[in-house]
Amino acid sequence: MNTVYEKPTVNVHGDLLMVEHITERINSEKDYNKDIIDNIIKNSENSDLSKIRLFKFSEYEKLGFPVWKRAKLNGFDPKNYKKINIKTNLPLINTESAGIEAMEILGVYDFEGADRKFVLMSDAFFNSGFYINGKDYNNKEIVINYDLNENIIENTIIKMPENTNLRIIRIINGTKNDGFKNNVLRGVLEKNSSLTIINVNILGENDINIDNEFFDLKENSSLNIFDLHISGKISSPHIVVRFSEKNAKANIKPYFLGYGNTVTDMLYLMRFYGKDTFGSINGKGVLKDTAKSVFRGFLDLKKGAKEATADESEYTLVLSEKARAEAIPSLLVDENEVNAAHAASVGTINEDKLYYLMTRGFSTEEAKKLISMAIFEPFIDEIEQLHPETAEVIRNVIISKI
Amino acid sequence: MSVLFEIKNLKAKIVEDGRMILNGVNLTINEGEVHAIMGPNGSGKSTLANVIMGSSKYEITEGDILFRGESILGLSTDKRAKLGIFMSFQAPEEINGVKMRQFLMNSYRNIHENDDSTALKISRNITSFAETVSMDNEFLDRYVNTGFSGGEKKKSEILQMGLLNPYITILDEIDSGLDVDALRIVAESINKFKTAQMGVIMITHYQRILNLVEPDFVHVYSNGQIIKTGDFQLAKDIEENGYSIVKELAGLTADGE
Ligand SMILES: Nc1ncnc2c1ncn2[C@@H]1O[C@H](COP(=O)(O)OP(=O)(O)O)[C@@H](O)[C@H]1O
Ligand SMILES: [Mg+2]
Repeated sequence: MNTVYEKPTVNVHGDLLMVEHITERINSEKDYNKDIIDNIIKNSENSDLSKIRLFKFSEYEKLGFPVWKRAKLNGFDPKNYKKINIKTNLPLINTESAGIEAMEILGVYDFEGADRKFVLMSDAFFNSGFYINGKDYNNKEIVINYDLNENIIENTIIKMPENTNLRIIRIINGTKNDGFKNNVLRGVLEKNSSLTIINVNILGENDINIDNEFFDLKENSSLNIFDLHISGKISSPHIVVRFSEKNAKANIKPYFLGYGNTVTDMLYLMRFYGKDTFGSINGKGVLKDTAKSVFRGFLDLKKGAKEATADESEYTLVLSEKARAEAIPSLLVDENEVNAAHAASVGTINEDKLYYLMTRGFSTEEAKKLISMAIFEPFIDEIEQLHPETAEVIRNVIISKI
Repeated sequence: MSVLFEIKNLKAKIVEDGRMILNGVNLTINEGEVHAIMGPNGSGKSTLANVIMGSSKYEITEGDILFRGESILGLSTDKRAKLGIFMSFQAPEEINGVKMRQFLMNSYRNIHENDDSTALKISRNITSFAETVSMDNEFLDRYVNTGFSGGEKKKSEILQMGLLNPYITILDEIDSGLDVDALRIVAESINKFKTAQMGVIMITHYQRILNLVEPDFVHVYSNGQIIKTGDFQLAKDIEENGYSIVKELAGLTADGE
């Protein structure tokens, strides 16, 4: 079986030579070791999975934890390992007891993720995660509630067979301490299937949340991701979408609110192989205090992706002089017959709008709040159509934090 | 009739470049009066309106603005709005992401802090004011002025005048960019919304709206000053002779100095 591996940087791309960045790494004395993996395997009845775990561990043990300058991660000490339970609205199959179909996906699809070490951590040591097959939940809605008071190492696999349709809402509730969640999610969308994922990451200011997601889109399938990040010492989504067949469509809407000393470090990569594919990344965020955001949006159109449409936009509203927004949009085009556009900008509160609101009796502070809230409102409105309770949760959190 | 609003020898400059725009404006408004201010483009009419509202783009160098005998110069824009001073914008701002109905509701609450009407009642009022200005209800579910045509924005401003029911209403070129039908609707709405307690300053470039909303006073404005005050007839003269009358008058003042 061929494996599929995607990573954001490419050594040689046309005549453009990109020098691959070497990540500095620090080994942790508390890192998960062979004893832990042996113990997991001893208690497992899933021999295919155990093989995969061991294989992933062989790569894992060679790597230290990364140093991320932008996100101020200086290596990492994993927390005590234990198995956990996650609340869901419908009964789901745990990845631990998933069958051959899931193992195939796990074996075939691999990627770099926010960092390889974290991808491998979830692959080798996952203590939670689900195998979701779209045919078991066709036209349904799955709501998963994560509580960061648990040390969550998730490994989730989603298979969307032909003509299935599913919506998944993943709500991550942060802590007042130093919660940790690391995730690997692989999704395969077969012909004519449709998947919507609403990621609601509501973190505490000391929580770390690393979310690696990889989707493979077959013919005429459709993927919609709403990706909300509120706060977090580090909230780091790394979402890769591979348009492998014609007419596949994907929209990603990243939204973020940073305050205090939090860092939102985002990467969205869309890689187009199929003809007539359509992908868009439209992000918006608000930063307060000394918060920081890094937004990487990569559109990569490969030869053969004729008439593909790729579009990306990002806007960050910065409310404080000490907040830092960085946008790194990138467009790589190997194919001539494509439509592609990207734009990124950073702005402050528009003085004319502020003044207009003040003539209607809003104080400076109220007007600023309103304008900041307005960034999220179209996003919340859209979620309201899909899942009113979630929209309400999001609205209340943002109002209280903005 | 009592004095509601006074502008006394008001002089102001643009903060950014220090240019003087208002060069000594004097105006007294009593309850129930409609004052038209007519002047050529660039004469500083919008600047006068914005200085009254307390825009931070301008700095007052001399003079005073009194509301019921008290200076408002120390008040921020929102405080002036809360006193009951309202301005409709020549070019209203679009605020994407803020729903029109919610914005109107909050504006009403801001300005009528002591009114304990229920949200339902205010919402109903909003709907009925929208009907008065013949604005489709659907606009109330849109974001503030976002994607509105020029005419729709002006209707939205007049709706706000009606809803907020201020003591001083400043209409800055409410007639510009309106077709005949929209102009009639806007004018009828102004007539409906103005009260015996309200003073109105109607800033305009053209006479046509004054045929529909009759002013008690017409002021000819040039180079940041009121250079002549008269009644409706003055507006008609300007309509017939154009702003050449302004040039003559301005010439006179210049010669007189
Ligand atoms: N905020 C500003 N910045 C720079 N120039 C301004 C500003 N406001 C007004 N002006 C200038 O002041 C003059 C008067 O403008 P304005 O008050 O808009 O005139 P009117 O409304 O009569 O057409 C114009 O020359 C205009 O360009
Ligand atoms: Mg003007």
